[in-house]
Amino acid sequence: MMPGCLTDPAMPITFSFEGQSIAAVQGQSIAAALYASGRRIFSRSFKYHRPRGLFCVAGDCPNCLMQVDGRPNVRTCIEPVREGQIVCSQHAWPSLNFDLLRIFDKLERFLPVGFYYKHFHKPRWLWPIFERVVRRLAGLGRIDLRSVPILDNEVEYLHTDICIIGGGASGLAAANSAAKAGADVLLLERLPKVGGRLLWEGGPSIEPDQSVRLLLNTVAFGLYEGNLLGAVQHERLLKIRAKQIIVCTGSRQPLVPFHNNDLPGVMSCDGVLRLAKLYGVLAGRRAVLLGSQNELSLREKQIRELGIEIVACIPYPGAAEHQIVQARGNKHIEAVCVGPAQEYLCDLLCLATEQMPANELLLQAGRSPTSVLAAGGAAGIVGLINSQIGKNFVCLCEDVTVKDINQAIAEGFDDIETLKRYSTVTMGPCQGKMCSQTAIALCARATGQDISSVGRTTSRPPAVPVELAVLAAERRHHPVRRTPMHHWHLEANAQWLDAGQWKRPESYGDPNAEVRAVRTRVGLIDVSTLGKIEVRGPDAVTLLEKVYLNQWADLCVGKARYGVMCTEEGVVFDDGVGTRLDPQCFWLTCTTGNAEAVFQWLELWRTTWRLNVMVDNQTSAFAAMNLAGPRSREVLARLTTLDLSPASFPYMAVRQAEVNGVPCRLLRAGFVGELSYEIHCARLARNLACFRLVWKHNVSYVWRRGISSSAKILMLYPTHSGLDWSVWCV
Amino acid sequence: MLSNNMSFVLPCPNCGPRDVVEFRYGGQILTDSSTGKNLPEVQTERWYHRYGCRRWLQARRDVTNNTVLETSWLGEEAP
Repeated sequence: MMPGCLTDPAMPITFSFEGQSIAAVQGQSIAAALYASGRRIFSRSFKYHRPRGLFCVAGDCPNCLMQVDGRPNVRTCIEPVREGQIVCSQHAWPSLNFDLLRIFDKLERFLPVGFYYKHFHKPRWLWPIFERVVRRLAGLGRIDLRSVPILDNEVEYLHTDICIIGGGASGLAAANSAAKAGADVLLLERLPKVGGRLLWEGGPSIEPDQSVRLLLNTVAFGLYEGNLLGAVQHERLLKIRAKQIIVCTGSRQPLVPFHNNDLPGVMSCDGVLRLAKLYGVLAGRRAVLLGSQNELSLREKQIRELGIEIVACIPYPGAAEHQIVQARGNKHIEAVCVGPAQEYLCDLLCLATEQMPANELLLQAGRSPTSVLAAGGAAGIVGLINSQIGKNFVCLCEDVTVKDINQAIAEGFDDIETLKRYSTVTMGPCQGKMCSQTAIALCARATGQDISSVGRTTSRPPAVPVELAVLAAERRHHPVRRTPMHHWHLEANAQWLDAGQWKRPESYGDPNAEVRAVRTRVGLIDVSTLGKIEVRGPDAVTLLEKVYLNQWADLCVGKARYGVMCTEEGVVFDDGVGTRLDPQCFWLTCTTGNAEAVFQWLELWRTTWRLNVMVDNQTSAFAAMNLAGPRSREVLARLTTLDLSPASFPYMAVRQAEVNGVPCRLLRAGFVGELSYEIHCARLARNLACFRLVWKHNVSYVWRRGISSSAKILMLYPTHSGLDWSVWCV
Repeated sequence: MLSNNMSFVLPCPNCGPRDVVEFRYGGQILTDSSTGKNLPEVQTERWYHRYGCRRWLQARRDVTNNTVLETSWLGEEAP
C-alpha cells in the first residue's frame, strides 16, 4: 500500500481511543488511523443505535462523529491526528461495538415517524418526563464543560477581488486565469493540499499561480448579503468580502436507499478512494460495486488499481432496477444480495452513484443553477427504490427510512418543506448532503409530481458544522479603558467598579472613612472617565443653544453652567457642566457612558446645520481630578498662584492656570456638595508624575487618608449642599 | 449568524467602500416629499462612520435589497 498523499510515514504519532493507544502517522485523519487499526464501527445511529462505519471520508456524513479532547461531534474522518489526543465514542452504551440501546432497532414498529408528536402527550404530566428520556437516548455528543478547552478564537477580515471556494481542478483553473488577468485572488481549500479530485482519482497536478493567496485547511460555511463569505481556518473565523465569489466545491456521491444501506462497509467510491489515496488506508479486500452504468465503468478501474478485488458490478437502472438489492451483515457487511437468487460475499460495498453537485453555498446565495436537480440523474435513484422491506435509510443523521418518508406523505406532509419538518429528513448534522436528493425524488414519486415541481428546501448557513466558540470569537473582544491615574488606585488597593469599558475605583476598603475625609477635610476623586468635549468656532454658541435645553449665549467667559440635552423626542439624554473658556470656545463635560454619544450628537447637528464650529472629543486626552472637601482650597492654594478666594474664583467659575507647574483647567463645581475644584490637565506622563508627587508628599495626610472615590455615596448624599433633592447622571 | 447586523458595503465619501459594521445608523431623513417611515422603497438616511473618519454622511439605500445607490456628506445637497 502506498502512503497517502497527505501523510508522512516518517512521523509516527500515537493517540488514545477509549483508553487504548492507537498508532498513526502525521497527516492521517483520526478515522483513517482507527480504520487502519481494525475499527469498523465508528458511531451509533441517532434513533435506532445501529452501528455505522465510514462512508464519505470527506466530513459530509454523520457516521464518524466522536468526542475529541472534550469537543463533541468532531468529524474524525477529516480531523487530523495529533500527538496525545484523547478520542472517545459518543451516544453508545456500554460501548460502540456492543450497544444495548440497539433494542430500539427492534422496537421500530412503536417508534414511527413523528412518534413524539403523537404519543405520551396525555396525560399532560407524562410529556416532560418522556421528553427528557427521548433527549437522552437520541442525539449526538454531549458538551462536558469541565473538559472543553476555552478556545481563544480570533476573527480575521479579508478583502479580495475574487474568492474561489475549492482548490480542485476547476478552482485552480479559475484561480490561475483570474490571477493572470491581474485580479487579486483568494483560493480556499479544505484539505492541507490543493488538487481535489485529482489527488484521489489521479491526473495532472496543477500548481496555483504565485500571486494567488492560498488558504489551506479552510472551509467556507456561509454566504451572506453583499458577497460576505464566512469561513473557518484552524478554529479561526474568517470574514471574506469579495467582489466576486466562484463556488468550485465539486460534487459528491449521495447515499441510495436499499435494505441495510447503512451497514459499516457500505462506502461511497469517493470515500474508498480518499481513504486510500489521501491517508494510505485500504477500505477492504473484496468489493461489490453498485451504481450507475456511467460511474461503474470509471470506478471499477480505480478501485481495482488500489488492489481491491471486485466481486461484482451491479448497475442501475438495469439489473438492480426490478430486483430487491440488500446488504447482509450484522455489524459489518458480509454479502450483497440481488433478488432471491444472487448473493455476492464481500467485505466492502462501494456505491458508485451519480455525482451530485455540492452546491449548498450556491443555494444559500439564491443563485440556484437550474440544472441542480437534474444533474444527479435523480431518476436513477427512483428506479432503485423498489424495496419496501427492511430498513432503507434515506437520512443517516436522523435515521429516516423510505418507509418513514412514505408514511409522512400519507399523513399529509406532502410538501417538501413540511415533509422535512415532520420527518426531520435533511435536518441532521449533514444538512441534507447525503439525503436531500433522495427525499425530493421520493416525494415526487409518492405525490405523482416531477422532481422540478417538488422543489427543494431553503438552504441556510452553516453549510458545514461550525463550533459556536468560533462564531463567538468576535464577542470575546472587550476593550478595557483605564484612567491616567489607574496605577495610583492599584497601589491604594482600590476595589474596582466597571463603568462601561472603564475601570473606576469604587472605594479603597473603607468607604466610610473616605466619605468622612471628604466631608470634614479633603479627598481626591478621579473623574477622568467623564466625557470632555471642546467646542470651538464662530458658531459654537449657536450649536450649543440648539442641542442643549438651556441658554449659552449669556454665559460669560470664565463661568460654568449646568446643562441638559434631550433627544428629538424630548427625552433627557445627557447632562453635565459646560464652561466658556473664551468667546468662541466651550469646554463641556458629560456623563461617562454617553461621552461618545454626545460627541456624535454634536457632530450630527454641526454637520446637518453646516455650522462653522469644530467639535473635539478630548475624553481620553485629559485627566481630571476632583479635589473636594472643606480644606480643598487650603491644599490647592499651596500649589498655585491663582487667587482662590471666593470673590475672585466663585462657585461655577472656570480658570486656566498652572498648578504646581502643570497647565490646568480649574473648575469650581459642586460635584459632591462640598467645596471642590475639578482639575483637568493634559494626559501627559510628566503632568501626572508631578501631581502624584504633590499629592503624596506635600499633602501626604490627604493622600493617605483622603483619596477617595466613594463618589457614589458622596453624590447620593450631598449633605452639606443644603438640598433635599438631587439629580445625578454619571 | 456572522453578525446581528446587515452585511452590505457602504461607500464612505472619505474612506471609500467599507463594511456596514463600521457605521452607525442614524435614522431616515424625512423630507416633505418622503412618503413615510418603514416603506419598501429607496430612502435617504444618515450614517456615522464610527470606526473610520468619524463623520456623518447621507446615503440613498433601497431597503428592499440593501443596495446603496449613492452617498454624500450630510448637510450637502440631498443626493
